[in-house]
Amino acid sequence: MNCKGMIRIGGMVLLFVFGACSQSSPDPQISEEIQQAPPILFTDVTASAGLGDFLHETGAFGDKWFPETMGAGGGVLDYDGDGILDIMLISGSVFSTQGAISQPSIRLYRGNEGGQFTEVTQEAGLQPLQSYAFGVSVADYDNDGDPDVFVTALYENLLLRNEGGVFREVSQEAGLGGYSEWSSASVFLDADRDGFLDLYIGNYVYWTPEEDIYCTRVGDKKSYCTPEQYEGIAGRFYRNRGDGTFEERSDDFVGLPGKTLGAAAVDYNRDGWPDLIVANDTQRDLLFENRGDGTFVEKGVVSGIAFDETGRARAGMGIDIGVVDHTGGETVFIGHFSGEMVGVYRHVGNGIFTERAAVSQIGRPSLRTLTFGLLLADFDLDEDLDLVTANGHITEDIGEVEEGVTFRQRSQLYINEGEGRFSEAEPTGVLSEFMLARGAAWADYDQDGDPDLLITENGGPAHLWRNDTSYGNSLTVKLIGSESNRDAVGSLVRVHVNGKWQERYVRTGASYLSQSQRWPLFGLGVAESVDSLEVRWPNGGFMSRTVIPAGTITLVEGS
Amino acid sequence: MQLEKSAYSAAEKSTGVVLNLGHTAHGARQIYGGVAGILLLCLSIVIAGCREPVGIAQKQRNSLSPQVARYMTEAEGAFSRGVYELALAYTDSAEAYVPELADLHFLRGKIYTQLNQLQVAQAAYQVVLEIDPEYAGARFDMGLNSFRRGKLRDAINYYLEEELEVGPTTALYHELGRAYARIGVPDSAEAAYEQALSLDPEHTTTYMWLGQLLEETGNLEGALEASLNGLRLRPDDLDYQYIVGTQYFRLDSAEAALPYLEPVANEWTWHHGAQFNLGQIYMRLGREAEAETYFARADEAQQLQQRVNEAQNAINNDPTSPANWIELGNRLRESKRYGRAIEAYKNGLTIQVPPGLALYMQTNLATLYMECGDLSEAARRFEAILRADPDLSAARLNLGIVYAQAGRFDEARTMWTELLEREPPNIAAQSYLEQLDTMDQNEYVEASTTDCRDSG
Repeated sequence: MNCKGMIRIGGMVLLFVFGACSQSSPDPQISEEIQQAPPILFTDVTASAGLGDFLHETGAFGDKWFPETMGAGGGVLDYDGDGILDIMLISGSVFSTQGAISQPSIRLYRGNEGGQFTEVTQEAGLQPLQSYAFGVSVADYDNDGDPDVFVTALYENLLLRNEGGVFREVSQEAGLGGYSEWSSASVFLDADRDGFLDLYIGNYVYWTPEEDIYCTRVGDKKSYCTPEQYEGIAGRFYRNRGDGTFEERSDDFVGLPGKTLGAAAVDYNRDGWPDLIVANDTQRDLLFENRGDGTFVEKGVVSGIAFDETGRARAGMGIDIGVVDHTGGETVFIGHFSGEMVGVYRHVGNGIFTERAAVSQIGRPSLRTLTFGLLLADFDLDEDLDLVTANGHITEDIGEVEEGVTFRQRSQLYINEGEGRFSEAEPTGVLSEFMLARGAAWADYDQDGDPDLLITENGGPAHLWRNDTSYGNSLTVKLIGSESNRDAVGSLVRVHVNGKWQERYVRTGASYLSQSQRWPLFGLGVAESVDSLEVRWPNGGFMSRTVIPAGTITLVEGS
Repeated sequence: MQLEKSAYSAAEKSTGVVLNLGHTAHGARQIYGGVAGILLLCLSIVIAGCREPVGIAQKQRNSLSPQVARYMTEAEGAFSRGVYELALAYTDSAEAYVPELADLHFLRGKIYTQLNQLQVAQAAYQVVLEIDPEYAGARFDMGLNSFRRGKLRDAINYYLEEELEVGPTTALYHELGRAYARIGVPDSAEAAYEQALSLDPEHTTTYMWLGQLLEETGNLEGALEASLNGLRLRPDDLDYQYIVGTQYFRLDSAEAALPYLEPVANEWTWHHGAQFNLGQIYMRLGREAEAETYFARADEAQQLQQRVNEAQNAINNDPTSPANWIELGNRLRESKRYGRAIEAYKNGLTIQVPPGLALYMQTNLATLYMECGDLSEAARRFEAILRADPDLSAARLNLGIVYAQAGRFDEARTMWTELLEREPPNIAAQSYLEQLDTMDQNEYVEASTTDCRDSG
């Protein structure tokens, strides 16, 4: 059971004691005050947790090659099944024309008790892998009980099959090889609900060193090109045959815009079949609605998420989706370039989304940031989803042409004030640090019941920010599928607490090149338990429980 | 340098058309950017027109010789016609007589602003202020240029200095509001807009920008109220109708939005925002077939816009290439944005290009005027082109068309007949002549001449 020892209200710290992690009913007045202004505190524990030696390598050597600015991501997984989350980080590479790689392209850190990490790249079989890699998504695609990893890359992608804690690269034998494209986002989802996870791969643009375009902002000084100068590549979709191999079924994606940087699965129309939303860079965003048989029809334009309010395609990056207000409609959040607001699209029914960036109060504060990583989690455990954006520009001298926009930027935390209106948290502590953020993932790595943050930088370190908010209880729901895919990806989990429902959709990928904790974590405020819990499993089965105490619960499909 | 009469034929001067035949009075003066500042520039002209410069500048004006006064008048005329090289040449001529004439440096600042040579423009304005520290509009224009260069703090400082030295104006507060809004200080922006409106309660543009600001801050009701105030003053403005329509839409009033967006989408087929939003509205109203129609139009408009953007990017990378300006002009013409296409061609023509290319660009420019319905300007330009090169068949053919459209049938017949004499197998000319012979000229309705400005 999760219990916190103190509540912080403004500058006052209230201590209270849990008897065996229980407490008497909270004073309603105090509870109300806390709900109104719960301070969210992060502490940078990167070095003390054992991640201090990590540094992403862009391979930059002065020629301003486009891919240098885009990486990289990272994520969490429990690769050894010990119940403690581990961290995988994409450490980048050098270009093949520039000599040998100086470090492994993918590094793995095993989580230990007490929130410490130990690098196990060598032991996990990742040391020999060389790839100009970008992002990760994690899922047990072969249903053998351990998490596998898909890594997107500039050239050939990697499927890392987990074989008892050692990863083996199996993309060719699994049917995912045979081509070389710049891939970015990837999402495992069980599109046809056959119990095996299929794979969507979002691709970016055609780029090779030989076809690198000379772009300049000032005089004869080369600068990084924008994606408009390059041709996009459409995404690919692979159906899982259930025998460890995939077959390509990209017909529904052919001819559609590429330049993808973010993708997330969601059952937006609640028909029980997973849909897919794709964020594209300077191309229209896409909504792939599942026809109910594992195939898709694209409805981005008619649904209203393809463009901004003026009908222009924006520079879409990271994406996340969640219910952030009482309407029960999913809201899609998409990070964008500086000068463009974070996209906030709420589903209002009948397949229609309404743009709410300005109304949500996220729009204006996001105008000066270039948002790559973006995710939703209830950081203050006050029963609604907050938003984090991980920001950093690609142009070193951007301040000379866009006053107020900086190269290195702060990450932003938008606190949900209820009903989908947000306020930006004060830029103090770690939120005052300027960096070239790219990936962002959340996970309760220290198992204290609140979401912590992992942020990756382009050409820089990774950052692990421990959530020390010291408020409230939470419920983490671990799901194990039996008829459905083993990771229960595509489950819809709802809890009823304090008179309202919260829900989470179990997904992989999302954000930007990153994998967050897959198990849903619900903030309960001061409640000690949820009144009821419902799970709609990916294959359509339903499960409910009542009076679940705060902490962690593991549910097995069919049990 | 002074105006060299040999550079411009009498015919060119009389028509206001300058054919750049490999000779430019200011070969080194080239364009460094796009046409985005046109609106700002127009605004600054209004400012100067609204308020008489006082003090030193006014004294200078009162004591000008007729010769210099004529140069300045010619320069301003050339500038207003978009013949920037000629305008610069006239300012040079004036400078030879009165180097310290503040007005000429001020006009030069405006010309270089139009040519997107903003640093040169700033230097010209600085000279103005050295001559007359109270020159109205100089700091304001410097603020506009700073805004265009993304130097928002500088822009705000220039505006505040103008307010201090010269006094407040509606446009000054309006632009101050825009700068505050862009730099992320919405409260100051709103206050500046309110000040602008307190000076001029009918300043429509300020209402619209205030509406934009309020919309961005999530105050949709306030935004709509402000925008409706602007639209009431200019009810036929399609830009304003678009803004009001989309704001109704944001307020979930799809039916209220419809009458505002329909005219915009139908009139401006290139306006992808109007097509897209109208499609969205039809979707919400359950009129899916109509929605699909407008989504398809939005898609087409988006592709056109993409090509325009690519052409603009090419100019940003190399503004000295005439081919880049031609490409931009062609892409804008393709999307029927004739006003901006004309500006692109005009900017391209200020670059020194080979005579053949200059004639090609002039012919395209004249054709643009013809296509957008400014028949008098089209005729003037084609006539000038034919004086420069009487063998240019396309110009002769099109001039005949322009004459015919304007009801000048005899002149049209002359053009096509001459073309047939020069090129006996010219099928198009033959066909037009036959049509002219068979048509009932009494029933002919003269095509109305329009201006070629576009917006959005």
